[in-house]
Amino acid sequence: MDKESPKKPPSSIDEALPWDDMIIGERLGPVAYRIKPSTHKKHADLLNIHRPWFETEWNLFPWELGAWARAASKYYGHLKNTVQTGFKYEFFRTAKVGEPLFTTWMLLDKYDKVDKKYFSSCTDTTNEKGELVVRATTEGIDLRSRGKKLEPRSAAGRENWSGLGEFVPASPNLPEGLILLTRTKGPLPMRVSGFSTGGWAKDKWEGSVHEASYAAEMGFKAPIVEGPIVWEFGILELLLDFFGPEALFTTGVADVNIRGPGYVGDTLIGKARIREKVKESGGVRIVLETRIERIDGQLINVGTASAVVREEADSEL
Amino acid sequence: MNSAPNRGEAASVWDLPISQQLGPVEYNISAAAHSRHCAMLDVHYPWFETHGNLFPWHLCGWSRAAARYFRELTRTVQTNFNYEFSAPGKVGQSLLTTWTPVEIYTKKDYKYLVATMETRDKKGDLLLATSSEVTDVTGRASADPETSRSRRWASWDEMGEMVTASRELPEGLALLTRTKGPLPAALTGFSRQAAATDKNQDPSLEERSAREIGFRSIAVEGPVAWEFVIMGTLMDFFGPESLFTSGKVSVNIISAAYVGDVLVGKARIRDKIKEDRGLRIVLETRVEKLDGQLVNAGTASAIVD
Repeated sequence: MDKESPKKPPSSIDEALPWDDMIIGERLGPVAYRIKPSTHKKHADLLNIHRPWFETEWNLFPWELGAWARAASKYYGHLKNTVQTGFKYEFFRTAKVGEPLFTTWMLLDKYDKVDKKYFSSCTDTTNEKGELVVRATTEGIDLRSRGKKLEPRSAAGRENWSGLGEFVPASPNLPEGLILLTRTKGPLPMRVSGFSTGGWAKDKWEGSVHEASYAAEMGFKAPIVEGPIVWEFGILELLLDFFGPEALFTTGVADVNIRGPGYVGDTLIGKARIREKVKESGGVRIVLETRIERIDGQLINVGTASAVVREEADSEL
Repeated sequence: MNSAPNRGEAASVWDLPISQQLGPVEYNISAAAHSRHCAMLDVHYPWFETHGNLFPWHLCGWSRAAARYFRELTRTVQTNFNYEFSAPGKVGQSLLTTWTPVEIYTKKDYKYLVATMETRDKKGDLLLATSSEVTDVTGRASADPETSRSRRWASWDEMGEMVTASRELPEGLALLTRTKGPLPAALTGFSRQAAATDKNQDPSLEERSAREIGFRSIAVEGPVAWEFVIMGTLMDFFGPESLFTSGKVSVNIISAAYVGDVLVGKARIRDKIKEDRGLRIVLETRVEKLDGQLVNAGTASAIVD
């Protein structure tokens, strides 16, 4: 697994996503890649996440590890006319800037739901030794099957909670229901185009929801920021402070449903509370319920995030 | 170096002879205190976390110098502060701070005190020169300082640009406006209960004292509110080396910020001034609440090579 080996050539970016040609269960790749220091630094700067774990120890961000866009686009172009509706990360080990990584992409399912076409896929990223670094599953929707609609709007009121919360590190003794420190952060950037409200360039990204005219055509008020970027921006630091980076990036699982679009410039509120504690070998998995809301109350995403807290670590406290 | 200060004959800080230098007081910031400050302020730049460089709040030695001489300084509220950085200070390093009152005056029946502080290393090299103005809150009526003093002058609404300092940038350019919350207090973090009532009368530590003088809740120290939301912008724009060796900061505190507040930090280029060492870029800075209420306003500058 030492070189890039697509089994079939990528489609033209002008083509629509070839739904009928996409074969469920076919594993494509591996696609080899490395994240450059400059790319990594730009990501840290845009997300305004300046932690030694990323900046001086050069560990990669989830987005850089779960490389479904990098892999799938080798075969299907820029995944036009699609928008992500959910994603899940399972972290197994860390990886560094410059390290050779290999990603395979597999379509898990194609299905109709409420007259819309959905697909789900699985991306495995491994290191040079063949060890699994991260498994990312993602669900998306074919926007052509959705047609032009007003942007989805989910009120933040249901199943919500208020309160500043507590600034505590993970420990098996923390009670279920405990609210962690709610954080507010802005402005939200776009990954490629930063803080430009126009989003990505039309000549390169026609048919992408990250480009202004197509986003407008699909009923969104502006180009949409990628769901996992919204999540990283709005809640990753909360998880880092709570679980610590080692636990998060070696045992962590994050499962996120996207409920509304995040736009460039948004101010986001990241919330988490302890949902449950599950015994696992060597520790307790603490499962957080997570929510990201826009400051105007619009729900952006909901989900869970968990990692294993070692019991012996707690006894030293 | 004796760290137990002698304040001379003055019974109160308000009786202190002008220009009488007190100190030096020797202190150092422990790794634990520094780490806690990073965590509370949610400022995790390697400059601070990995390299152990101190925050201005710790470097200026305010609470370790002046407040040790005169307990009643805990019954004051800061209205202005100025920093002039010469060199960074490190976690665990022995620091020596002197404190000198330079003016005491009365304005609208309230007493004000202006003092300067210098923080030096053991070799005597200057790290940071600070000046600060405080006002006595003892016996103040319960007029809410935030509503009586807040103004929304001259703000701007652009999201701004994420750029690094360079000579070519035009005056008037707005830097990226950042929103961040919740605001912590330096010592008590996110607790609204704060410290024990019988031990503290400081409005930044104790809620009852804060309410007595018209604050809604525990008022966060002015320089801490500034560090919380503007420091990142200055680090990103100037870079830490330039900021902490040539930086100058001047901030007027206009209204109170409270534990849990979400703050908006704004900066735009006001001026570019030629100096011997290079070009000094002067930023106009503002910290506001989400509803637009002005918390503090001032300038921050550093040399661009």
